[in-house]
Amino acid sequence: MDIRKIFESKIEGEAGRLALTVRGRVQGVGFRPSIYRLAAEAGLAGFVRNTRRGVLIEVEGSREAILSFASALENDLPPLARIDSLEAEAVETNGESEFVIVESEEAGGSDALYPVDTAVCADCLREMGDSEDPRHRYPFINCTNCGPRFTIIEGLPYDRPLTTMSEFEMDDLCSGQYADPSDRRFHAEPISCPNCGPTLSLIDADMQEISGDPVDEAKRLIAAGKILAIKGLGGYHLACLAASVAAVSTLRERKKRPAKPFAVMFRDIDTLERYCETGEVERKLLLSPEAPIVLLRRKKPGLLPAGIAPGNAFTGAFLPYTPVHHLLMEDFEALIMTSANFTDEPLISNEEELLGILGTMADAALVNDRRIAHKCDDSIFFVPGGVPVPVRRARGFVPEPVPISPGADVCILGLGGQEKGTFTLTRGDSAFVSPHLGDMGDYRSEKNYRRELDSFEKMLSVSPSIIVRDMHPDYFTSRIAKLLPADRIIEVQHHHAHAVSVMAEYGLSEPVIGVSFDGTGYGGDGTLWGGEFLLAHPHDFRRLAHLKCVPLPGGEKAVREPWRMSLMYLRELYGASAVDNAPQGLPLGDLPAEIIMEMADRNINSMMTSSAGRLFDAVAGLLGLGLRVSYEAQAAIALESLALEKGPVGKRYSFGYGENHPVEIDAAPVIAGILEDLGAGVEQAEIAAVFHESVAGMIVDTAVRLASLNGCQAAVLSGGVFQNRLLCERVMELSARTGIDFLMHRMVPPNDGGVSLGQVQIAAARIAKGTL
Amino acid sequence: MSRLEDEKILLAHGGGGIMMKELVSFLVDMVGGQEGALQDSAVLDVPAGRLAFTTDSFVVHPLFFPGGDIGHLAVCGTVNDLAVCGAVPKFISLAMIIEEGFPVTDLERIASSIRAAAEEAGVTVVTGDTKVVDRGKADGIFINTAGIGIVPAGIFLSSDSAVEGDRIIVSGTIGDHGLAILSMREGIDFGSDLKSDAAPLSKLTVPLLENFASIRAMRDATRGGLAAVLNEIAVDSNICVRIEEELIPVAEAVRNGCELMGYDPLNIANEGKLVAIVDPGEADAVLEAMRGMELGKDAVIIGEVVAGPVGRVIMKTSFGGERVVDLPYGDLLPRIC
Repeated sequence: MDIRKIFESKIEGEAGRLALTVRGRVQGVGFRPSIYRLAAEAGLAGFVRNTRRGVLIEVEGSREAILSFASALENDLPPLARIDSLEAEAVETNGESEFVIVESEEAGGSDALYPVDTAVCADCLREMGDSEDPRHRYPFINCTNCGPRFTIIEGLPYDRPLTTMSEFEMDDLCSGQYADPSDRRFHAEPISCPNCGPTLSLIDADMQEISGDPVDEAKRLIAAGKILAIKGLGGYHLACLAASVAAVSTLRERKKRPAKPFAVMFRDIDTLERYCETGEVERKLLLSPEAPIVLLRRKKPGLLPAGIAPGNAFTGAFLPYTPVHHLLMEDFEALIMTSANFTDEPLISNEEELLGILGTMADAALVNDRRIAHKCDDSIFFVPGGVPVPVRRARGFVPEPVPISPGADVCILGLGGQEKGTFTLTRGDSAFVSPHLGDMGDYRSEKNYRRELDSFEKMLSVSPSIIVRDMHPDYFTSRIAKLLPADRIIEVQHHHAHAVSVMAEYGLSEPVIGVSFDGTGYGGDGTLWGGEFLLAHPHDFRRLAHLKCVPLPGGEKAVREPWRMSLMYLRELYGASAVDNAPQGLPLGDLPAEIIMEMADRNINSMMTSSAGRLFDAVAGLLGLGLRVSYEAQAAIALESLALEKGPVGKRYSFGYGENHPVEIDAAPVIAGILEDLGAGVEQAEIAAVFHESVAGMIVDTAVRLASLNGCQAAVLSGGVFQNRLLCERVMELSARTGIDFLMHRMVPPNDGGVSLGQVQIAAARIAKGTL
Repeated sequence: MSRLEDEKILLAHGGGGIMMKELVSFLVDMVGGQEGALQDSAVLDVPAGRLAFTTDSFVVHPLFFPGGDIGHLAVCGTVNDLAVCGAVPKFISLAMIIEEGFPVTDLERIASSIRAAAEEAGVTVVTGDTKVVDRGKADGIFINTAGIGIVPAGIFLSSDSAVEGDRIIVSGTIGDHGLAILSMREGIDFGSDLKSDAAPLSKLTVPLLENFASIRAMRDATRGGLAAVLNEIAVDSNICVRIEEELIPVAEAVRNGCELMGYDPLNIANEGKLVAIVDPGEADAVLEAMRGMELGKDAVIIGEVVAGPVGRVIMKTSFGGERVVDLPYGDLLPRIC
């Protein structure tokens, strides 16, 4: 947006007055004090005032002064501010000589302010390090540019009385700064200082306070190999030495998490870059105010114990983002910082829940008395081909809305799926996606889901008229649909919702080829879908092509034991003699392969599935990587990691294409190619790389062909399979000159965490079409 | 004892002629039916008080399986429905729908199982019916039984009576019956001895109820397994049931079989296991008493009724999770995304 150009077109003479309506992230980020300062510097008169939907600014002065103000708006905004739209209008001058901040006159709060938690800023860090500063080493320092937001709000508008900081009364220092428009802490709602704010304490496994400086003592315990629970913004982390093999393996045992990678917090970007590969985009993301975890390739030779991410080329890396982190990291290069919970359960965020892990998971806890209003995990990104794609959207992003088009007059609630739960509520053309809420098969996750849903409805002053659920009858979200008040409940197909979640992000209304590749989703035709090419409209879809179905013997068990899928693909090729034709890497002799074959033959708990995730499992199994997995996609990640060792390959295994509609894409020839290469002694890394190249090629070829047959300009990529960085990069590369845009997620995750956004967009599009 | 001349059941055995009379009196003899079971109705002497009355149909395939057969099951199933309502089972009816061509030797086996089960349960077959249907119209044989039991004074069991604090006892290992049937039907060998647990639970319930007034409810965990029964109790009583995965008794063979097939023992049918809801004050004593009897020797307290979301069953998993135990809408569908 060229603000200067907009201004130029509106000022007619050598002087004048403009009324500016600004929307975007312009409240609660120190926007008004900045405008005050910029206007004063330009010698302008007028005012700035918060409105319900944004900020209203009026500036009066010379043409030159107004244009210099325009440049300042483009370049000198506070770090967290973001202008999404600006309308300017010439109004009558009134001869004022001063610029003032006017308090909002409107009742009922703001629709413009969705405060997100952000990493402590450089100014606050400087003050923390300054022994003369009243907030020297103060672990809760913050200002309008940084600090806790969403995790402390109990209602909107964003105002101290509606945050958990209302429990602390400001002293004179803080209340003075809070009221001073020229201060960096003007209306910094969580403002506090050592004299009036929350305090840190360290407690042992018996909840007894450990004497001494809590930070120093915590450092001492960590250095001694202990595991500490550390209260952060949206919940507790478990922290221990990343460099200690013993500490990492103790943590694995206690968390009952045998293999899933742990995130690592590094002292600073330079340290991080000694351990992990980064590029410009990754570095910018790590250092952004949102400070997410970024999945990075580890440098070789590995400086960290392999146990941090066994069989996985990537490590989740992040930088300190709270003052407490900065104080702790003074003594350490790298700490494991993993969510304090058992896998897939909600994050522990209060002292009662802490009791459940103290002494069992954590040896001690660094706690504080600032209450957490919303559980909120760390956000996670990966960066295929220089594009940041979220894997988990939470801290730093929630509750900012995602724009949808069309929006709807009524409130729509999308309930999401089962695992990686999120819900989405709409208000007009804004979609509010909840933070990551975990696996809904767990009662505590379910409870947290209901609590967050209530809280979002109150916060946004909405009550849903239309509820959208997945077609799967047994998802928790499907069950609660009918318990919630609403005028209508509609069911949408899982992979359609995936595709439309990308369309919503890009504001696409014309049909596209929806490539939805994931584990499993309810198809509605008695099979489980998961390798789908759809003709996706926002309101509807047609299935154009899919991977040819194979049995899923034992249902979820087959997901946990990828070798079963290897066997099913061998069965496609060799029928009853599948077991005899297994490659050496797959020790079927030690496994109950005959029983699994019988289950498939007799259709015992063996639904047919077109899942792409299971194809990756099958290939991993053939290479001996997937007997049993303890977390989802473990085998596929191992396969990707293996492929990365090889680097680029030119060769491809070919898929077969059926004659019927929808087109069946047969992976059996790919498996045959792999078996042939295995027999010929081709190295496993090469086979893994060729497999990735083959799938990427198949995706691009198929989508391009379907796009031209159906008159589409774009293909959208969604579903958990597109968390495979190598696959994404190969698809982007191979599609670069096809004339079809291949679009990846940017705002919500490709996994089921993004499904609720797709659900509400489908409903909104149906309303606009008049079909709902 | 009369014998049938033919090797196979013929349509004429249902025709109303002499052949039919022969079949019926053969069956009455075989199952140990009461004198007069050939009349249009059984006329029964019953003591004053309350009667429990139930009916059930049996269509199991295969008809013969490790640990029982359809005849044994037809008696136990109905006896168990009476027993868990607190009744002392007394009389049952027996109706058979037999497919033309059904081997008479199989019918003999089934009839003698019925007799043995009835004797074990202390019930008498007092009335019955047979029909023969065309080949292909039935899967060998279908059996319906109805049962009448006497509920002793002072016993009021109901699945809506569970209150917070009550203990939940399961009378033994779960999943045995369903998995044994599946293994036999599909010819899948899990490499160990799987056996149906079908048994008349009145042998357990009658002495328990004589001694313990603190038993509030009992249910036999048949179709839908333990999960279905616990959910029904939670819904009927408007309470939350909380159980612990590690406490639930599952035989090794059943656990392995379920692992292989991707089933959850909680959803697998039983034919000789009950769930009892017992006042916490006497729960240990009830448990001891159960364990003193053959049918309850593996009984365990698996959880309790807690303050929590009403109508829900929550299981503390061995990983420390709190899994919601619900019932599938239809077939078992994977929920992993």
